[in-house]
Amino acid sequence: MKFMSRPKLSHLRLLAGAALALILLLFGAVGASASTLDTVRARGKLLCGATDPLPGFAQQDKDNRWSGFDVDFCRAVAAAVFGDPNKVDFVPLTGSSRFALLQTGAVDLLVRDASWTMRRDTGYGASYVATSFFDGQGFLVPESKNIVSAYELNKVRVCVLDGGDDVLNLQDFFFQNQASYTEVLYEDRDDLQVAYKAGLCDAVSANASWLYAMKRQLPDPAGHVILPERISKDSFGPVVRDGDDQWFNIVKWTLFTLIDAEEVGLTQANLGSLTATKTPEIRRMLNLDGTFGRGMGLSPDFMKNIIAGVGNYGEIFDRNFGPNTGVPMLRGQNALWTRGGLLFAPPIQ
Amino acid sequence: MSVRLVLFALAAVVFSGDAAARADTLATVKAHGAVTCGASSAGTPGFSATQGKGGAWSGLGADYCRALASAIFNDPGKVHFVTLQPADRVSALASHQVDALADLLPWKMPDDTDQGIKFVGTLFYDGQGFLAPKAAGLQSARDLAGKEVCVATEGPEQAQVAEYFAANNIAAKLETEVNLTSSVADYIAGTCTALTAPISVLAQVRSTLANPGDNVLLPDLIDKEPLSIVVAQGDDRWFDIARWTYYALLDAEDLSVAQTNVDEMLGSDNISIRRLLGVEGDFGAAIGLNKDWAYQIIKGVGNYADVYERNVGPQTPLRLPRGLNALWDKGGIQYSPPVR
Repeated sequence: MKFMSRPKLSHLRLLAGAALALILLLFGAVGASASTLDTVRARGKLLCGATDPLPGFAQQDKDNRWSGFDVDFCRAVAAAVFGDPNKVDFVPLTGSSRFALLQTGAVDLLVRDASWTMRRDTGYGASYVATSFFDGQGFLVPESKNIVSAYELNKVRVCVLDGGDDVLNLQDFFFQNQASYTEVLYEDRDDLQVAYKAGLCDAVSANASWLYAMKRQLPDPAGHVILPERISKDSFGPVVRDGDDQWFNIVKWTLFTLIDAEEVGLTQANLGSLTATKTPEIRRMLNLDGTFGRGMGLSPDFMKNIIAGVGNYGEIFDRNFGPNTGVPMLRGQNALWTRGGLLFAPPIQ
Repeated sequence: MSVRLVLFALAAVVFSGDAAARADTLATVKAHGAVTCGASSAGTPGFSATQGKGGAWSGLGADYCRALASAIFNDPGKVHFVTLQPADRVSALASHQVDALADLLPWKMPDDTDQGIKFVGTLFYDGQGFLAPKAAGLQSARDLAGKEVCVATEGPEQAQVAEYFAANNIAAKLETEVNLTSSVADYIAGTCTALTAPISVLAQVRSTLANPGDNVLLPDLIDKEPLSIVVAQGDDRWFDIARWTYYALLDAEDLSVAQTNVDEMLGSDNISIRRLLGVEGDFGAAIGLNKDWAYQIIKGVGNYADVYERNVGPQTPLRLPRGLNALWDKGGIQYSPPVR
C-alpha cells in the first residue's frame, strides 16, 4: 500500500527545506523592514493563503467565490483593516510552498494550513499568532458499525497517513488500550478517502478537521461518525512573517475580538441594537468607551467592523459547521473556556 | 531649539528605532552571563517575592526567569533580579533595561499593543472571585443573595462585582472601602460575609488570617485576568525563546516528565519525550539554544506542575487548586503546541 518509501520522502523534505532557507536569505531583510499594514493598505486588499479545498474550512464555489471557517477569519482581518470583509483575495496553498509564499510577500498571512509545531513556529522566519482551532487525531467510522468510542476499536483495519506522527500515535493508542489493529498506509489525504470509501479499511485516523472535511465529501455524510476521543494534541492558527509586531498584533487581536465578542454576547445580529448597552466590554468593542486600535494603526471602529463584517467566533463556527451545513460539528475543545472548551482570549480593558 | 539639537533628537529617534528592531536579547544575555529579570519592589508572595530583606526571590514568575536561565546557561541560578517600582516595569522592559519580568502582568488590550511590549503566554489564569468563612456554608456566589460583600473601590473590582450581581440577579449588598487593607479589616471584623478581589490576592489575604483553613474560595470567577509573561517587541528570537520555555514547561507536564524523573526519561522510547529532551532531533538550534534546552529547564526548575505546586499549590500558604490552570485534558485550559 505504500506509494513511496520513507527515505525518498525525507529527501524531498530536505530539498524543500533548503529552498526555503535560500528564500529566507534572499527575502528575509525585505520582509523585516516593510510594514505589512502599509503594504496591505497600498494594495487595497489583503492576500490570504488558504488550503484549497478543505470543505468547511476553505472552498470555492462554481463562481470561484470562497467560503469557509478559515476564509471568514481572513475576511475578519480585512474588516479590521479596511472596514470591509470583502477586500481580500485568496491564494490556494500547496504543501511545502506555503511558508515561502509568506516570506516572499505573496500572502500577508497563512490561515490554518499546517498544525502548530515548534519547528514551524521557530524555523521558518514566521510565527503562529494564537490558536483559532483546537484539533487532534481522531477516528472516522461508518455509523453502521455501531461504535461510539475509540476505546471500542479492536481487530480493525485503520487507514492512516504514512511518514508522520499519525502512525506512531496510533501504535501508542492501541498498545495502551491493549487492542489490535492493522495499519493500511497511504501517502496522501485523497488516497485515505478513496480507500475508506472502497471499504479497504474499517476506520480512518487523522486530524479531526481532516476527518470532518472527508466526511463532508462522502455521498452519505450522516452515515459516518467522528468518534469523540483525540489521541494527539494539535492546534491550528494564523501565521505571519517575523519582523512585524504591528501586523502580528493586528491578526492576534482580530482573533481575540472574535472570541471576546462571543463571550460577551455581541453578535452580527444584535450589534446595531446595543448602542445603549451598559456592559463595559461591549461598549469598548463598539467604540462607545475608550479608544482602542490606534497602537496597531487601526481605526477605533476596528472591532465593530470585524463583528459587523463576519460575526463573532460562534457565528463563524455555526455558519460553516452548524446544522444548516447538513454536517454539524460539535464545538468540543473549540467551545469557550466558560462552556467547557479551551477557547480563551485576553480581555479588552 | 537649535537646528543641530533637532537633528540630534531625530538621529537619536532613528537610531533607537533601528536598535529596537535589531535587538538581539539572547546575545546581550549571553554576554552579560545572566538573564536580567525585573521584579516589583512591592512583591507578590507565590508569584514574585523575597523571603525577608535581601532574601532569594521565589514565585511562579521568579521560577520562570530561572527556566529561561536553565535553557540558556544550563543553570537556573544565572538570573539577575532587578527591583523596580511597579510603574516602571513596562518601560524598563520596552527599553531593554531588563530581559523579562519576574512579575506577571494581566494580558489585555491596549497594554499588549500600545506599549512596546509583547505578551508571551499565561502562566496563571486569574480572575475575580470570593473568599468566605467556611462556617457560612456558601457553595457558590449564588448563595451571596441577601449577604454583605466587602470590596475596595480603588480598582475595577467594585464595578465588576456590581455588574455580575445585576446580571445574575443576586441581591447582595456591597460594603465598600477605598483600599483592600481596609476591606480585609472589615472582613475580619465580620462586617461582611465575603470579600471579593482577584483569586491570587484573596489566597494571599487568606494566608495572613489567624486560621487560614477556616476560609474558602468560592468556585465562581466573575472576570478573567490572565497573568502573563511579557517581553519587549522587536526581537522575534527572544520572543520564541520566551514562548517555547513556557511551552516546554507545559509539554513536560503533559508527557509526565518531571524534575524527579527527567534523567530516567532520557531513555524513554516515546518519540514526543525524546524530541522534548533533545534525544531525537535538534529543536534548540533554530532559537539559538542547545538541543537539550528543554531537558535543562526541567532539570533546573521542573515542569509546570512542579513550579505550580512549589509556589502556589495546595501545600503552600496560598493553597490554590489548579482550577483553570490544570492542563487542557484535565479540566483546565493550560495548552501548548508540541516540540516537533
